[in-house]
Amino acid sequence: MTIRRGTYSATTFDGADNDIADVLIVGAGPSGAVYAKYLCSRGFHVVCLEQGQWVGTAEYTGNRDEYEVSMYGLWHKNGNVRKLPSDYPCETSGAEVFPVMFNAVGGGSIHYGAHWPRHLPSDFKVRTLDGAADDWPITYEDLVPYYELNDIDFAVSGMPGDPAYPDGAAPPNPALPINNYGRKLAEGMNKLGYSWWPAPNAITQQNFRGLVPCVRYGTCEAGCPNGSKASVDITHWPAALRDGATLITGARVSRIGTADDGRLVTGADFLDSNGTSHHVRARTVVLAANGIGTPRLLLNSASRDHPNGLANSSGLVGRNLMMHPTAMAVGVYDEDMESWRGPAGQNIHSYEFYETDRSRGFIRGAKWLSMPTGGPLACAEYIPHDGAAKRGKELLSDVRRLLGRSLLLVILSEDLPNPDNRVELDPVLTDNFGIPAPRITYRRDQNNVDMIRWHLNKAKEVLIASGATEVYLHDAMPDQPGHLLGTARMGSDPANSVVDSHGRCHDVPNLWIADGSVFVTSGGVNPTNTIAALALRGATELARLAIEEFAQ
Amino acid sequence: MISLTESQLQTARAAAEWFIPSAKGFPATAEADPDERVLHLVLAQLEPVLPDITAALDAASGQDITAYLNRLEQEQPEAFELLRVLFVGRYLTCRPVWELLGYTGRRPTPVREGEAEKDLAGGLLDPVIARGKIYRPTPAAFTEER
Repeated sequence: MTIRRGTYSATTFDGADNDIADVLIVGAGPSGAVYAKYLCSRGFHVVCLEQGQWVGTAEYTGNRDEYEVSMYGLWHKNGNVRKLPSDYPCETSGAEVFPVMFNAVGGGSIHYGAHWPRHLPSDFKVRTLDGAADDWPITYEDLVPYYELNDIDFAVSGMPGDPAYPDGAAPPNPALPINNYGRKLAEGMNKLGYSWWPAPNAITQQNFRGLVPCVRYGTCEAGCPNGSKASVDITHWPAALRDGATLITGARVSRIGTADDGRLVTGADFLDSNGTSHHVRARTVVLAANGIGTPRLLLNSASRDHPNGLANSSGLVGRNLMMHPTAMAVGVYDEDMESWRGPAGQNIHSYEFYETDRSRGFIRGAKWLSMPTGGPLACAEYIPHDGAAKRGKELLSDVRRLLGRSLLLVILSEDLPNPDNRVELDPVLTDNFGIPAPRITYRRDQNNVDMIRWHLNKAKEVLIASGATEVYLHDAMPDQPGHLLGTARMGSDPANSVVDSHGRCHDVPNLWIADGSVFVTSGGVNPTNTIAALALRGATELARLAIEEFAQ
Repeated sequence: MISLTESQLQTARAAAEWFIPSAKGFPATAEADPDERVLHLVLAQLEPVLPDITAALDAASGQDITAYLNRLEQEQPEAFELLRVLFVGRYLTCRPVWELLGYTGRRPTPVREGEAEKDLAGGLLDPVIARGKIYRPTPAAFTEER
């Protein structure tokens, strides 16, 4: 083993053909980082291939005047618009929601809002409780130890005792202030007798593992310029590197190789930014490339032994894509609440309408959360218009009315798995290296359409009860949030799942999947906390099996 | 630094006035950004879509800007949207405009001692706590297996 330790560009990779890593991870986002940190701490040599680069906090625009415009260009959520060298194209003409991802050390945690809810107990047993979709092969209780460990690693701020969840350990930081506008919404919830709670965020209030206390710029979704949000380039990778990890940036993986009649994976082929091909051998491979990148790579790794794609004997690789369609209601108030103040981040959340109530005409539900409305350009977008776009005095009047005096009530809905919603390889489109690009098909079903309609009407009632003088409703948005789930689901039966309950592929036992691809159902909450908990559980099992094998 | 041709700049000046015409109580774009520093600041952020922006500006050359933008909005809404973001975004990035809107910008605001508690003062959470748990637990069949 001579693969250099540390972090460096793929163009300088000088590993030899006979070097074999203990574990090769594809993707340096949250799930890959959780695996790497855990395995390196137990003495494994981990090599991670990341197609993006390190991003410094000084590159984020959140504390600069041009921040809001940057969200339409360099920091756009859509890689098809952003077109960074690390982005690959996605064919999305058949998708109602476009995928949100960011390829860099830190991955999606660079762009995420750091909302840190857990899935609820019912989320894991949808078939049993509601007669739809499938049960997960694990329970909420199985994940609790990993949720609690990750709360510390991700410097979570929150208040214990949330009545929407079973009791458990308190997060390491107290809850962030809910701000004037969070309180305003809470008062409305109280008037109507609805449950809510100060929401958990992976945002620190103390100096902790390279993070510094939040100063509430409210720009979390374009990277935290203050270094307060728990993105794993700060919280995890430095520890993994200290423990001997190899993190190679600018490495676009094109294929996972197999041997022994396809029964085992052997490593990965990758290209550096010059287009030079390399190969890394490994005893175990972990895919952490998100719910689009992972099925893309599995499908691109088809071979004689795996003609329909690697680990795809079930035919489910790429199927059952879930993206959490999200709507919002904007409440406008008479008083100034400085409602651009962060975090963004979430202030309060509510699970009052999360569980199934069949009298509503649909099953399952949605999480509600409040957020700031942002600065003047964001406020210029919230009031719908018929016909020509508003401009001039009319537009400025809208901005003046909303700026600082409004709040977002966000409705993050559960979408049930549908095998027709899927990731395939586009027959024409390729990335800049000629590797087939993903084609995404995603349509909301009637259950979700009905769910969001019902929730928007209910949200309007709550906002009016809270004192809003105007309410603007926005149906499911194409750019929100684009979570990437379900495309290599877990299960006990290899005929209807891709991985087992720890993320280990049924077809290829030394291939593991760490990201949101393994979700069986989406739940109606932000998924990074559960992705990270599943990753820590998977890494723990991988290490246990390897040590057991070594002992024999 | 990203620069526009003189022709593109002339179109940009006319388009800026179309999106935000002079109005009582608000400065014109030319007054809010007299040296066009903010224009270039936001153009740099829009670098990934700059070819589409400059193409839309070039297409307006020699045309009446009002007729051109009205037609663009109808016939090429995506191109119109880029110009809207550029010119409305530029205007709303100007600090003199922020002052008129009462916007302080994104200033660091550390959490003060006791601030979180103050936001919850007056027993705000009391009715929620009194009502108690609202989640559906894991079905007993699964917890009994453990």
